[in-house]
Amino acid sequence: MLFNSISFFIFLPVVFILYWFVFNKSIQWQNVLILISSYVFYGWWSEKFLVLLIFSTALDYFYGFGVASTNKKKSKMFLWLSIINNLGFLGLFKYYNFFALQFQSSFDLIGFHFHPLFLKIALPVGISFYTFHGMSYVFDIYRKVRKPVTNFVDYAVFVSFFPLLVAGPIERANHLLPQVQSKRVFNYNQSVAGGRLILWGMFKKVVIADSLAVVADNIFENYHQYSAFTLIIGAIAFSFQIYGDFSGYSDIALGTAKLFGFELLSNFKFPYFSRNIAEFWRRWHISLSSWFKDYLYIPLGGSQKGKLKAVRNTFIIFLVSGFWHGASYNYIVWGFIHACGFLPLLILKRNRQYAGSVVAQSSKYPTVKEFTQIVGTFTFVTFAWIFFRSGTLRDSFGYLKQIFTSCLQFPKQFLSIPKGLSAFCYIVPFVLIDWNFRRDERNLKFARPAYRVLFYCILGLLVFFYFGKRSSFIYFQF
Amino acid sequence: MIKFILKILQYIFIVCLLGYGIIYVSVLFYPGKMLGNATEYELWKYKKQLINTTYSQSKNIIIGDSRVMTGLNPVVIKHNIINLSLSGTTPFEGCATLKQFLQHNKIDTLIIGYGIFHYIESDVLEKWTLLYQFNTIQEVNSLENVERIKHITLDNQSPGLQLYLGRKATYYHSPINLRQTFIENLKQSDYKLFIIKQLKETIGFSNLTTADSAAGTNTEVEIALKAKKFIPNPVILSYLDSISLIVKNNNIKTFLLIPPINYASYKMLTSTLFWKQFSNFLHDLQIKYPFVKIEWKNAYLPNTYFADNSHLNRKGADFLSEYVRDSIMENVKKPAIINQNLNTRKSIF
Repeated sequence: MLFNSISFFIFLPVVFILYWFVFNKSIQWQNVLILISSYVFYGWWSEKFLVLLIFSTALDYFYGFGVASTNKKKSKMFLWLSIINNLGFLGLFKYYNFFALQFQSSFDLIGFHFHPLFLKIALPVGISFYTFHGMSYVFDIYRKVRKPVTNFVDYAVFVSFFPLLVAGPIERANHLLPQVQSKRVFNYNQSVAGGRLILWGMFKKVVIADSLAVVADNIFENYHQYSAFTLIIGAIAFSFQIYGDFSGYSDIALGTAKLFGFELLSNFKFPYFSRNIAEFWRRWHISLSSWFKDYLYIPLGGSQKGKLKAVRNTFIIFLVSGFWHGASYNYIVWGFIHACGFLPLLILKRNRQYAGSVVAQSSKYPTVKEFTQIVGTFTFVTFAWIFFRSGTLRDSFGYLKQIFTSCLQFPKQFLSIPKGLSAFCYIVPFVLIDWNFRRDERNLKFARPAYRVLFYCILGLLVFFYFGKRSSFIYFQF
Repeated sequence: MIKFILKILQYIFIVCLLGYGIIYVSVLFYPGKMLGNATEYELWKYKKQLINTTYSQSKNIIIGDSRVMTGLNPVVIKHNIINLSLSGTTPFEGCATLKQFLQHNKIDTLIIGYGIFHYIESDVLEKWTLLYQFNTIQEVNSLENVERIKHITLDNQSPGLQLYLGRKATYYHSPINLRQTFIENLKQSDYKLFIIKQLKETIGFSNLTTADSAAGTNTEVEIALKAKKFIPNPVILSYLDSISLIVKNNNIKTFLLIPPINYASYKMLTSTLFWKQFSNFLHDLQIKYPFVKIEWKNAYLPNTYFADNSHLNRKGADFLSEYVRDSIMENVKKPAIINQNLNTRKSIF
């Protein structure tokens, strides 16, 4: 079920009313309702993959008890079983065909021709997210950060809570499980904030992302026909499309969870106002980057075991993060570019320079230096998005080549009025609103009630007019 | 909690009210822009105006689809003729045109011209006919009665309540229907002025495009290759019956002209079962309506006479209009015959 579909707008109020009016007597019943609702939500796509989800959940639930064992050998064995199991699912469904193709091509190069078996199955929606939930639970038990959950329903709700099931945020057992296990009380302010987040997320998705998708898709698919200026606009349009799409999804997830009394981890904090790449990664897909930091970067030694190892670990984390997005060299190159952008900051120890602060914290506008930094970071990120968005590496390089070659035909082609110029009608207001809220993403409050009424009326109307086109979220494919 | 639910409902209600209100007012003030296709809207509006005008003397009229709208130029044909044909229409709209025109005018000669495709189905009923309220609601209701009897709709669907409710919503410009297209329509640039200008100068004729050749194949070829057979829609045939009854009762000299197709399409169609069945269909029609003369001399014309795969360009329109002027209008008493002997048209190649 898509968040931006009519079925979700029937499903959500029904579950909400049942949750607070019928099942409100006990947490257990509320959790059972959430679990059933989550399975309905997921099964809407495919019942077959629902079986896989339940199976994966059950395995990690049982591994949790094994990992909690006082016998170190046994504990480690179950930890590895969980890793193999989760990565096995991911490997089979997401990466198997990619590796099979690589093997085939490699053998072809040395003259051996063999035909590996290619799987003809679709990627189960959200598999990258729920396997990471499962692994975080087992890792936390292994690290003695938490104890295994005895109640299967509680654990299953943690893994399959419908707002975050298919595209995150990737939750931590320590953050969400205590909420699952404690009594939820309806809170008016929390629900209003949830409603506002849903509306804001919906605006980002159906108005901004879907409109920019038309421009970006057209330019990326026919890049060889366009001039440098149009191609730059195409890349910028995609930067905002993916931001609107994914952060919109996260906002709807966060808002929906609030309606049920849950607080989820934040996933985005105005990434395009970052002053360097390190800050960007503290603001973009936060739940994934912190997951990799906690469960990969730090166990590998982080930056504590010398500069060389820190550099190695940085590359590992960025390349794995890129590969997590999909079985394609494009994503690996995308991760590599970000690692290259991060490296100078790490070496110069500037990677934590802006941790915990937001640009123009106490002023209305950024300084010239801040503005230059923001533009620089955005340009770098947009350059990397070209690799993320293009179908193949050949297309990515073709796109870049076309920018540079048509640039040389200056001024006629470069200055020709580009087709995607209308994209700025969406980007400019979006940036201005984001800038206004940059100090607190989840607040969405206004000093004057009149402004609030006007803002939410316009937002509601835009969603009203744009809502209805069936378009999936980009991150569903991961 | 109740307060929260009420607040959400109140918000949704206000947004919907405002949204639908904006759509309603926009359609009221800018119908051309807000109903999807400003050029087409102006075109239909102008034709409606022509139909409802009272003329001082009796007229000769043309009804049909876009193939005759782009193929028959009243300025070339002369003889006091008006081209009332409309894009995508079938005898359903043609019958209404005839009835409405006859309410305050007299007709001497009628030329009916529909492409083969429009004996099979209508593709603009919801999109334009109903949306532009071309027919009266009584005519729409009567169409639905015919469809129920024939068990098929004008656009080849199964008749049903849901479909008819949808049609009514379209006819009355329900804001619910228009919500999804509102933004797209808002972005729509103004109508193509040259089409409207030409339409007014020529009393109903217009070249939709200015291209000078079309070597692709048309919709009929697609159908012939896919469905193989020519199956006329019984609802359309029923309206053809109504037209024949009107012309008979009003003693109108009537010609059923089959607009020419381009040579590329003809080449593909000529040996098909579809083509053969269509020829037989015309023979049957001639027997059924002996007072209507069927004109199919120009079954095809060279590709250079076409602006696109279906519509004649200016050169083709001039040719066909001159043919109608010389062979039909100036010689209405001479009986026309079904003539598919295409070798006789060698001169134009």
